[in-house]
Amino acid sequence: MNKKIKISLLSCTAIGSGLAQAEQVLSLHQMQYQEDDDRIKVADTSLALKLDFGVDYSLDLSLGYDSVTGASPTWQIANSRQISANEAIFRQNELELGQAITDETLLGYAHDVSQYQIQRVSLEDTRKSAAAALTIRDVYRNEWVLGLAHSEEDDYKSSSVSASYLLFLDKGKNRSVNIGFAYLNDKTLVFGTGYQSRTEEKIQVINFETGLTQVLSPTSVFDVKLFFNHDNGYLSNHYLTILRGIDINEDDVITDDEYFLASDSRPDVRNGFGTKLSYSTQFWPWLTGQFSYRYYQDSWSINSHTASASLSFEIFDGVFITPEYIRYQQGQAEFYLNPNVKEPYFTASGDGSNDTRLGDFSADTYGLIISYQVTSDWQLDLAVNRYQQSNQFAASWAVMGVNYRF
Amino acid sequence: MILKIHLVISAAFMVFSVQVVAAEKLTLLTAERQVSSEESSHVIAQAPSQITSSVRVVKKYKTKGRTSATSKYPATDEHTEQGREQGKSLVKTTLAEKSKNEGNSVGSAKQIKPLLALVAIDQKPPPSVSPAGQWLNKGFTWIDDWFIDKEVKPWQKAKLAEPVMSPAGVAPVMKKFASKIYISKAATFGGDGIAGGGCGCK
Repeated sequence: MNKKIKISLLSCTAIGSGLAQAEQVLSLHQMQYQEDDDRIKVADTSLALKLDFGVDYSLDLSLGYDSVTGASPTWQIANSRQISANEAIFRQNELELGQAITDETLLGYAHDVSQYQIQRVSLEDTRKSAAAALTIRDVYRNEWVLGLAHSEEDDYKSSSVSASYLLFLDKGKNRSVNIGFAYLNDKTLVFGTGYQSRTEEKIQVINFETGLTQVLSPTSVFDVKLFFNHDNGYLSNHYLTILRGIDINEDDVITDDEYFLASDSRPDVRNGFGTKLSYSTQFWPWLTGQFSYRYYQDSWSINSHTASASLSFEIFDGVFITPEYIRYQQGQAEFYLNPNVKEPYFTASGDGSNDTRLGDFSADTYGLIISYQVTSDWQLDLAVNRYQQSNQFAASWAVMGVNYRF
Repeated sequence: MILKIHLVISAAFMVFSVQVVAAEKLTLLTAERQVSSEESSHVIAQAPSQITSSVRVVKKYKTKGRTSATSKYPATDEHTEQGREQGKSLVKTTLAEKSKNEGNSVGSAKQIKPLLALVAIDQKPPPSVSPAGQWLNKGFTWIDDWFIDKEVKPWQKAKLAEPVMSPAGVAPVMKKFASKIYISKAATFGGDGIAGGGCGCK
């Protein structure tokens, strides 16, 4: 580690455990994400600027641009584009009959259930985002952080405001409490019946988080957080589909010609809460470990456990190599049905989803981060990750970037 | 002719001498005014009966930015007030003892001419904990009893302040990218900061 960094670190220790460095940093990073079986590819670019104005104010600005291409699997009707005009009219009539019975959105009909197949639907989208966060420190070195963020996609807009407060409790700045609040107001364009219309739906999200950070020793810190999330509005994924059996002829039997392609349907409200415990310690000046555990539970009956561990080795002066492992275990939502079971059909009404992300699975992430402080001003970052779920899904991503301090 | 030259030189010398004397007097007057103005602006000048030396060299220590920051400090701080009073009494005691030792025979403190007069710092040091923090801390003192052997001092925090010890590590942006992927590939989130941080990837 070079002298300039050491000096800035020492000077910031006088501030307390806020870990603020009086420096300006401009960083540019690019991520390439690739799912196995040539499903989804993402190229994500992030430009960030951190400005310190004296020791009382900091401003973080970031711009992001990412593009998504590829295909995502979901239920579709086989050969739906190679049907006759009469067949198309017949399907449309059946669709209207089914839609008259249920309030759920129906997207298509095939006269035989065997024509419904899980196919890859190609997609392409771009997303632009901007965010700003202003940090204000008072005479006690407590911190207010006020944030604004906005992002836009072709069919999705998100705007958010946030505020958090860091309050030191003791003279040595060894104990602090953090309280944060965020409000997101999102809008999305949703497909209507038969993919023939699109309507704008709203999503409102409230995040609340509070935590206690305690310095245990000159080389270790412990942190505990409690968080609460409230989602309200259109929480379904309108790109995903399910199959619904609707008794059109009212004979109390669902026959093979009474299945419809319907949109993914989830409850309009979701309340989630959880806790996260983190522990950081420096075993030796060249070896630092970070460990965490998170528990999550929500009103959709989803629960999860996440455990992570990382070790940072400073193998040379300013060269850090950080292997990381994350283990994730999730329980399924109450309205989830595995699309690979023998009869993955839902009833005419009620919530239902075949989205495997709402299912029961575990996942492992293996990561390696390399950070190289080339000079006192320049730092290079490189990361590679491998992510593998127990349900056959797997992905890899790599990040490369540069930071310039001035 | 020679006489005329002598007269001219003598006249020029006299004019120069008068100017030098006038300049010296002007300098002395200015210096006295400066000293008196500094005294009048200083705390100790508010108690002139305690310190009676007529000529003092007042040395002020000012830190850049301290003066403007002082106005933001709370109006009351009992520890600081005590320290200031102790500082005043220290000055009084020191000068009184000096007066007693050196000026007994004369019986007047006016003869004391210290090179450097002690002054009380009229600016409060930064307070450490807010009242809300102090109040809230009462609920967490059990942590000290159960888990903390020895309080970590500010000068022992160099390692804690290293980027590698921060939750995001030496390359914070990596966590940001990873969080976006986990949010899009799993159904749960939370505990990594409030959502207003700019992800916007839900």
